[in-house]
Amino acid sequence: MDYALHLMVMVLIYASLVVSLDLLIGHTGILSFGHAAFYGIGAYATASLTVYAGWDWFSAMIAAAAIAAAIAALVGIPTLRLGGDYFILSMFGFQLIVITLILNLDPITNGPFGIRNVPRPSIGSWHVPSGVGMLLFIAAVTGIIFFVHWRFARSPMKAMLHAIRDDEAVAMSLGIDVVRTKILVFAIGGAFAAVSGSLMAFYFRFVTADSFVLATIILLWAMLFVGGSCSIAGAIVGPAILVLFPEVFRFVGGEGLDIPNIQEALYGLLLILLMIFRPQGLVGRRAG
Amino acid sequence: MNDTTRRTVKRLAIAAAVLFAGIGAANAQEPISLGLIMPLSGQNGDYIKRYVLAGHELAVKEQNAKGGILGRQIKLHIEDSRSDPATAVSAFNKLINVDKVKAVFSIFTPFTLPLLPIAAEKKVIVLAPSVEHPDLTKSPWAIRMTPTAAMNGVFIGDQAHKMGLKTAAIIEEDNEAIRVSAKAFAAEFEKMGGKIVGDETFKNQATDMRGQLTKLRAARPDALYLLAPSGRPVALLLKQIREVGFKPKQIFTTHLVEDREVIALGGDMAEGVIYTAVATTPEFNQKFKAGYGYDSDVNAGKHYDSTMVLLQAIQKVGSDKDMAKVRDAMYNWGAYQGTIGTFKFVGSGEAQISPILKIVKGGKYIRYQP
Amino acid sequence: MLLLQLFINGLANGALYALIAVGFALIYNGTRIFHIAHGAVFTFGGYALYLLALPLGLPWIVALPAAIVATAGFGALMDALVYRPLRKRGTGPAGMFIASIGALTFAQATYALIFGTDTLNLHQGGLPTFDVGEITVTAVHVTAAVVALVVFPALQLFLSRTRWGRAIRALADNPRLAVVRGIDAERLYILIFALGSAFAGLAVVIVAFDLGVRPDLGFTVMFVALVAVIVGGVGYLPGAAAGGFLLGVTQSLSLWQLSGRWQDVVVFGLLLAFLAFRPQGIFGHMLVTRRV
Repeated sequence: MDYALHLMVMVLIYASLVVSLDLLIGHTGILSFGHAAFYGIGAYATASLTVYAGWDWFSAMIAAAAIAAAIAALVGIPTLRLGGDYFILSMFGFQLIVITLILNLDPITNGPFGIRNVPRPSIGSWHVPSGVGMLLFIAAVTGIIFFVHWRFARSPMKAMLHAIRDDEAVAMSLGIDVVRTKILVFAIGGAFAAVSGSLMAFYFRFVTADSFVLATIILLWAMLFVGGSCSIAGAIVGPAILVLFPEVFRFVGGEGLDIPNIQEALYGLLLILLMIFRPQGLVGRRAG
Repeated sequence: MNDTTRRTVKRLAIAAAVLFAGIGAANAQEPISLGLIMPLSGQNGDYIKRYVLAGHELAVKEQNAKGGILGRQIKLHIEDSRSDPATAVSAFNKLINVDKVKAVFSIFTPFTLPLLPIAAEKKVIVLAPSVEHPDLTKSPWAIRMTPTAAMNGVFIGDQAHKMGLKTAAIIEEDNEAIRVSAKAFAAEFEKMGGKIVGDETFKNQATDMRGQLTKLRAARPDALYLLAPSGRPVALLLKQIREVGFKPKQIFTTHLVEDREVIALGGDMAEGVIYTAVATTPEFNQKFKAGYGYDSDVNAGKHYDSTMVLLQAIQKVGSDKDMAKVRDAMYNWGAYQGTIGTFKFVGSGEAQISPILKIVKGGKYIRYQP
Repeated sequence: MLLLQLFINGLANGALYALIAVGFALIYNGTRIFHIAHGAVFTFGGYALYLLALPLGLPWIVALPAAIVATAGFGALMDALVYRPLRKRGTGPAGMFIASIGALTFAQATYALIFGTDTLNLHQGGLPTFDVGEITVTAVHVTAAVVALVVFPALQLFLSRTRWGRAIRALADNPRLAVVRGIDAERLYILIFALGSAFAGLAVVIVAFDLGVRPDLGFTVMFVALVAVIVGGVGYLPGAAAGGFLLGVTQSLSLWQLSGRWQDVVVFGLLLAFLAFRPQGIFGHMLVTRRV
């Protein structure tokens, strides 16, 4: 059933975003508000390169990741050096800047109306069929992203990032180049977010700035904390709950009841209660 | 045949008749499923529920009271797109797979365009009466019913010239459909010998346009054309025009001057403004008021009309099994007398309708007779 | 003349931005909480004013201060109900932030459920305006400027001369040391939230006359506050105010030569420039000695 397929795809794409966000927030302590911006940059770069420049899907996806990584490094260099306060606010600002640029750079982004007709991934003249085909494609790419993060979690690098997260001064005294490492991790995170953006572009075949607004990064943070940080399972559980929970409301009737706003109110309440009573999320290993 | 055989055949015939009648009855019970996906929460939520959704619901209720279409009741499944394209797509998929809808009503470009590839695959009609983006009708499964943005601009340009206004300025929201209106206006006005002396833009969600208005004031235009895609910026503009002391001889705008946001401003902010509109018939307004307790507006009428046209097309084709046939019926309908005027379906998913001119006089909206 | 008018408009908007930025910065610097729900507190003040003035029919002279006090109370309430339980648990900044998002979402949805999403206007028709030669200013703008001129020095005096004020600065500077020195942190948090929210209340009662009240009124305002705080420098209140004014003026002056389409780009370009070349903001270097 396409409805179920669609929901699975959304959960997978969000999961791929949350697992890379976890690398930044959960493991390294980089409280990044810019993740949705890199998601957007990836989606737009992919769409732009395939639709306007005629690139093939694979090169476009790789290029998008590289562009995002480069931008992340550029943005990270001045901001990661300073305290957490600055960084949070800077990333907020960065996210706003990216949206504004997307809406104004008409030649590349088609302004407020977005880019249509993004081609499906293909080999030669065979295109991945929509429906189950796209689900498998997205599952495959998400699987690769998860695999990389899972390997990382079993590597010695994890300890290094945790040291930075827990106490930068101590990490430095242990000989870790904190700033350089943070920039590197930030760039890697950006690259992964961009790949998620490519997936989104291939699936919807249409990119619009509405998909990368403030509400998106807020949703990603919520997914991370509902599932639980520092956890591969959490990166699936969080998105699953926050994608499926609102869908349940579609089946709940209600003549005259303002369901959408009631839903929003419950969502807000859920976040507050979660932080008070179960801050480590459902399956996480660390409290926020 | 002997008697026994004859009796058996008779019994079988009766049984078959009952069986077929039963199947027929079962089909008669199966409702005609239509869907609606719109942002029902969020900033425009209230307006959409009160007028747009109301227009669709009124049409469905009315038709059901008359016995439905093809003897079947019509069921409208309503979904909230929450101003998010991905949610709109989820809703669309759910409506198609779970509720088995045959056509979906939609609004706003960013939440409608993503539905089109799926609509083409699943052969579901997307009826977006108010979406003005040119790309909408590139898909053979999308239909709209609105005066085009260009048409509005041309009408006003023409009118400005007729009134003897020599110079004009434009204040517009940064939006592609709006730009089309503005360009059409400028082209028409200049063709007639007028001169455009200023053209300022403001962003969506901006609340302070005084800077732009001050710039335009300095250019001293005879006419000012005010363009925005929703009521709130129109209201803010009318207010701020007063506040910066800008007094052009004539202000033009679109039907949004009748929007609740402008009315809520109070005072005589809109007095004397001439605008393009389509008018709802008094009969429709009476029906609407009886059903909902407040006056209708042009969006209610338009969306009511779109529902009725679809239902009549299904009636004409005789079934809702092959929506391609229903789509073709709509495409080639020719003239359709709606509550807001006569639509001309010209075979491309565009239903052309000419705007009329109205003016705000004494706080009332009346037809403008020059 | 056009340039001067644009500059005056910019200062007027800047005064409002400054009020909002200072309220947010006070809370952020004093408590380290990224109180994004400040936007919802702002909006609450608007609805409070509307209710006090219209259905309840109180005269403005009573309704206005009452609304400001109500806003201050709402902010303090939010701290008591949302942030204090988290502090007791030892929740870190990320968790506080998620809770703040929850509070903002909940509040906004509740406003929509109770009041609907249409704008509620406090004032019919256009605002009264004053003309000085060829320059026009609205009453709202004049009020914003006057209020800012009075309130900022007052805040400064409060923070430097009173016992409570100095306690807030101590807490902002070094929370652990402050507690060791006997400062009752919890009571101080209530005060900080009340004070910061009062500023939001002050700003919203002015803005509400101009724009009316809607559930999302505070959302867009928050962006402005954030930009102002970054530009002005995190950790220094006068910097936040200066950031607000700079932002207002830049936004307005950009119209002089550029189309309104680029207004946002100019603002964020300013932000980007600060992030790239001076992330600590205009006054950031003062951080070594002052946090508030």
